[in-house]
Amino acid sequence: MTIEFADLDENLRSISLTGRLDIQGTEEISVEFSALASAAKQNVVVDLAAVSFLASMGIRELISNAKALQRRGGRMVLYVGDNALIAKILETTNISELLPLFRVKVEAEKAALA
Amino acid sequence: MISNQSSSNSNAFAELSIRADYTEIRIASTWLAQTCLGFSVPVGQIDRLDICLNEALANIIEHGGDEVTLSPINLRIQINNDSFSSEVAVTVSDSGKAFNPLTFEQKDRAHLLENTEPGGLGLTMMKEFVDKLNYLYSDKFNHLIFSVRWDCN
Repeated sequence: MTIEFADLDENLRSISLTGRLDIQGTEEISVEFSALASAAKQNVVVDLAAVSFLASMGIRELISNAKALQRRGGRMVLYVGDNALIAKILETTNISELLPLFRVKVEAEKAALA
Repeated sequence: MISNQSSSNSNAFAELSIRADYTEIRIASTWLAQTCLGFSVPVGQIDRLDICLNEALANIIEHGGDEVTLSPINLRIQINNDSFSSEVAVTVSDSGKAFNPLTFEQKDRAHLLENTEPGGLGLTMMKEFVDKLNYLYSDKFNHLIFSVRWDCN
């Protein structure tokens, strides 16, 4: 599991995850993901387009960090690109009701700043 | 880890035993994928089984109690083909506390992020991503059987 980030402007950070976000993968990125999501930037786009698998543990990681971000006045949105498996998991579990889900990156970035 | 495999023209099975440890879940997933690919199971069907297998094993290891470590967790993949359709059934057998996921009542999920409690999604994912989910308890073992089915054409 790899994690990268880019600051797109003073209020927006993109965090990109690559690999298998199962229990093992979630443990591998958890500390760094929380640190990146809670840093100075208020809004975060989490790029899941290159995530090959998403277990409930990975979803818990997204939810708990999104809640923490919201408590500080920020917002987290998800970008999945054309990753049909990840989109289906997030839609089936209704996580897309809680964390806005986008297939187009520009739209995700706009929504995060809205 | 102990594995076993057998096949004929229309039916095949493979078996694997793992320890009740989180680090073994990925081993089980890799075995599932490799076994199913070897029997030409479509990738989309493997993904569905993989989701259910991961959540089932995570639940067993987290909630199975001390009893779960008394015996290995046994996994079996059974592939059945006929002229019109194919089916893959996975059986997960463990010695943990008896737990029937089919009768477990889940809380309603919150519709606002601030009210959402992380967790509780595993059972939802198990129920939603496979075509059949069955459970039985016998001889002090839980047996969870889940399957996917698809048309051959």
